[in-house]
Amino acid sequence: MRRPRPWSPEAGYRAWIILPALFMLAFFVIPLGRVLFTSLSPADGIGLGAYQALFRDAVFSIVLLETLRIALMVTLGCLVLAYPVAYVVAELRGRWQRLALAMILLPFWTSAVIRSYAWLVIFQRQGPFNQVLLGLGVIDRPLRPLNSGLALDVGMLHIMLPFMLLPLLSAMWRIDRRLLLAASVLGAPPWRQFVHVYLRLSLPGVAAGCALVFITSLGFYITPALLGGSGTMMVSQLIYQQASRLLNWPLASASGSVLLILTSVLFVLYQRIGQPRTARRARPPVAGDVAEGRA
Amino acid sequence: MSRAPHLGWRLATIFTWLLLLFLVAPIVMVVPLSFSGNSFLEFPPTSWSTRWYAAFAGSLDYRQAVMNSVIVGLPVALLSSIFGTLAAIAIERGALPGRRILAALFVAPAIIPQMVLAIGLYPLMVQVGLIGSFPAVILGQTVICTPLVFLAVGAALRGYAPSYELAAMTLGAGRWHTFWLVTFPMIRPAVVIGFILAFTVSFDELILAMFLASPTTRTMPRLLWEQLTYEMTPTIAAATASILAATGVLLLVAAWVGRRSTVRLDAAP
Amino acid sequence: MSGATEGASLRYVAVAKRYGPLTALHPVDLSIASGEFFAMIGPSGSGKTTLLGITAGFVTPSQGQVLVNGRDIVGEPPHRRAVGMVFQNYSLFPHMTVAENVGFPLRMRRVKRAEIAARVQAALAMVRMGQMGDRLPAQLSGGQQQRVALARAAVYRPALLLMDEPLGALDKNLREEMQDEIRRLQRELGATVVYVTHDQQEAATLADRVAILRNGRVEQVGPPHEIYEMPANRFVASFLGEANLLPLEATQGERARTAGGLELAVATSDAASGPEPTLCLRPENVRLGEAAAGLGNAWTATVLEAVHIAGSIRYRLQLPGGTVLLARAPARIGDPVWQAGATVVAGWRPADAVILLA
Ligand SMILES: Nc1ncnc2c1ncn2[C@@H]1O[C@H](COP(=O)(O)OP(=O)(O)O)[C@@H](O)[C@H]1O
Ligand SMILES: [Mg+2]
Repeated sequence: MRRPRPWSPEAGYRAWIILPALFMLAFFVIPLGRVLFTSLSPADGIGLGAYQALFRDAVFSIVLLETLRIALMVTLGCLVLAYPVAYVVAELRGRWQRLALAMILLPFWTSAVIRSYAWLVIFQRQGPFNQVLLGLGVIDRPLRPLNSGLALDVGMLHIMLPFMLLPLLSAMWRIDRRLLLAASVLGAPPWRQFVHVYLRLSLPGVAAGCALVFITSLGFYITPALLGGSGTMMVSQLIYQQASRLLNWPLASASGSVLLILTSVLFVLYQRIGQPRTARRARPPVAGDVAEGRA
Repeated sequence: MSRAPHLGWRLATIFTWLLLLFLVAPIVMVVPLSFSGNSFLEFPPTSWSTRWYAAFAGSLDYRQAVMNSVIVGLPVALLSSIFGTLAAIAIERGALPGRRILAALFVAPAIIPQMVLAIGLYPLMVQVGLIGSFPAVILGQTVICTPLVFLAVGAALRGYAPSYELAAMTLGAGRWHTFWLVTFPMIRPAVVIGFILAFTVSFDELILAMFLASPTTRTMPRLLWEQLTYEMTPTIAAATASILAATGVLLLVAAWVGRRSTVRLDAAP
Repeated sequence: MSGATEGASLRYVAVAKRYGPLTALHPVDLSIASGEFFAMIGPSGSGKTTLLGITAGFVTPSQGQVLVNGRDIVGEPPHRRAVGMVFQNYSLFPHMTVAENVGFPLRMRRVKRAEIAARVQAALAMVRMGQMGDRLPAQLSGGQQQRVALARAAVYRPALLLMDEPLGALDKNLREEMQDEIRRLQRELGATVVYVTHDQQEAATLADRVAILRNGRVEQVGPPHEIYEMPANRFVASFLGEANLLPLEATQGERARTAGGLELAVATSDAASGPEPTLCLRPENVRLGEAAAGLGNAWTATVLEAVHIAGSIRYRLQLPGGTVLLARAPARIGDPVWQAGATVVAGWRPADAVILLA
């Protein structure tokens, strides 16, 4: 026996998605779809012409590889630096932990423009970087870190470190310290406790941090534009150039599509396999659970 | 937990504070720089003055850019709060089919490179005749700020059992009363935090503003960017330090709101 | 508050709920009389909350009708059902004071301000929380929150009151105190109560009738003592109190043989008709020592274990052939006590054991 539109608590909330979903459709999905579409339709009808042009010219391949290389290096660098730091911060208590947290959050919420600007000042010819090295006698002529890629590496690391630290921290905070005690009672020496319990349990944070840093790095524009000098270019810079200087929209769209597809695939992969099973819910929380506060 | 002052632990602690210093030092450095008496960027400055603040405050360009940033930022924060909250409630409480895909849709704008979104939005805004106007920048930035509210409110909704809302319903509250008297008070800290974060992100956003704004609607980051590429005076440092101070105040407010709730600042990406 | 409401009558007609391939509830038919205190018990996952959710309006049944005073309420939203519900986690609104919580349902019903204040005060007094109106829920103990939740569900005098493991989060002493409170409240209100619990003792203490659920099916319905004495099957027998369950291999007339090789005298002879006939013997019906001599069934047994449990002694005995039997004897001063290793005669009257057919 089917009744027309039975009332249920869920059914009423469903309609609330309409307004935000329409907004996202109009100003997120359609614009991105348009980028894909434009990339397929250069002047002479639908086709892969723009992509052929893109890959015929070595520049795009070089820029894409360079972008991937930088993103990978930044991710690894952040992981290596951030893991021990997150471990220590997670162990800190009270005031010290709050201070450490504030020191992570301040750069996290400071704009990339401002932070890149600060590094630009530091790495100028007369900047503190050269002054210190000259003063210490390490070098006898000022270096040009802005053109050697050093400034870019440092700047990107600086910008992305909080993105690695925060997921690591939230995973480490969630680790029940009694498990380490349990492991030691069961006879595990400290390094085994660390590897089999702590490291294992912090892996979700590692996955989240790496995904976040890598995906975000792929789309970087501000930092390489300011600190990259003339030597390096990342995909976003190339897109900007193709769109606003060359006014070649099919080409810019093709570059953008490659970047879009790359980040989307990584994002989906991360959502699929990167997240630990415990973080996933087998089914949506529903009224059934509810009465007992199980949700 | 007490721990023996193990050598490895000590080294790790020293390393930690050095790295944290590395994180904040460049930002903090902007402050003395802004009080420099020199006419070009030199660190540390050899003399001190407040003239760059005077220059900053006296500049029509800067004044207008700050105004524009506020004119853009407030609607962005408001719209993001509405869209993010509605979506989070629908997805957390609506048992929607395909909720994982929908949830991904509301997180994705924070992940997708802004340059790609910008080259997609630009022709659209040209077509509907909004290009260069405030609404164009507002709509564009709302897309990338909605995920912040969505994530914060979603976490808040998962933080308490849906039985509170069901209790309200058995007690006689319809949907409207249930939302305003129960759901909203429970998620209010998350909405406030989301609002502040959205405003902060909008206030710092460059790429969409670069494509969608015009010289009359350009926001603070865009003006800074234009200044950076041809003239490097300490005025930029003064402007930057001012933004930093404003951001800091907003985040303190957010942290203060967050203290009273289960939502943390780092719930956002 | 004075004057009891007329409790609603409740009838489930073939109510079932499926979640995709999973059947949370097989078709259920139950009738609950006006003013009855009805308990549902069953292990976790047996469908108790689902049935309660269907009654409150949170869960739409896949089929069937829920008749309140003869009217089908399926499809009606919870706020129009005038059903009261107490949740296991209490679900007191954390941002409202105790008085605001209790006044909430009255506010929703547009009761006048002055009347709300008076009725809230009366409801709080009824659960002995009259002084606590200004507190926030977070400032109350578990038991106090429970009382407020009761007052909130009762203040608008719903004719039907649902409770889902309301005492599940409390410790044992508080639980017993609250059981008395709930029973008293129900008498004062006159409401029909459907009470879910997984504690069989609680159900037996409170309820006029009990339904036992397993895997989404109702296994048996009846007054608690009747179910205890005449369980329908082995599951019910072991779920409600302790039971010795001895599978029967062969029966003939008033004699039977267990799988363990014991030859028994039984009261009835129609046992052979069940698929898996089993003898169910409650431990307190096993008599020991002199009392057992001369009964229809009596053996010399070895005591494996004797445990004192508040007022009685629980014996684990081994009969000839290896069958293990539980027995319970009151621990009166002066009565004989057998220690582990001792031998004792154990027996029961054939009429004290029931034969279960499944
Ligand atoms: N929303 C739901 N989706 C899928 N399965 C559910 C849902 N709600 C309950 N169930 C399942 O239905 C069965 C009965 O659940 P429930 O009524 O909560 O049992 P009880 O309250 O007796 O512990 C369980 O197997 C449970 O997992
Ligand atoms: Mg249950």
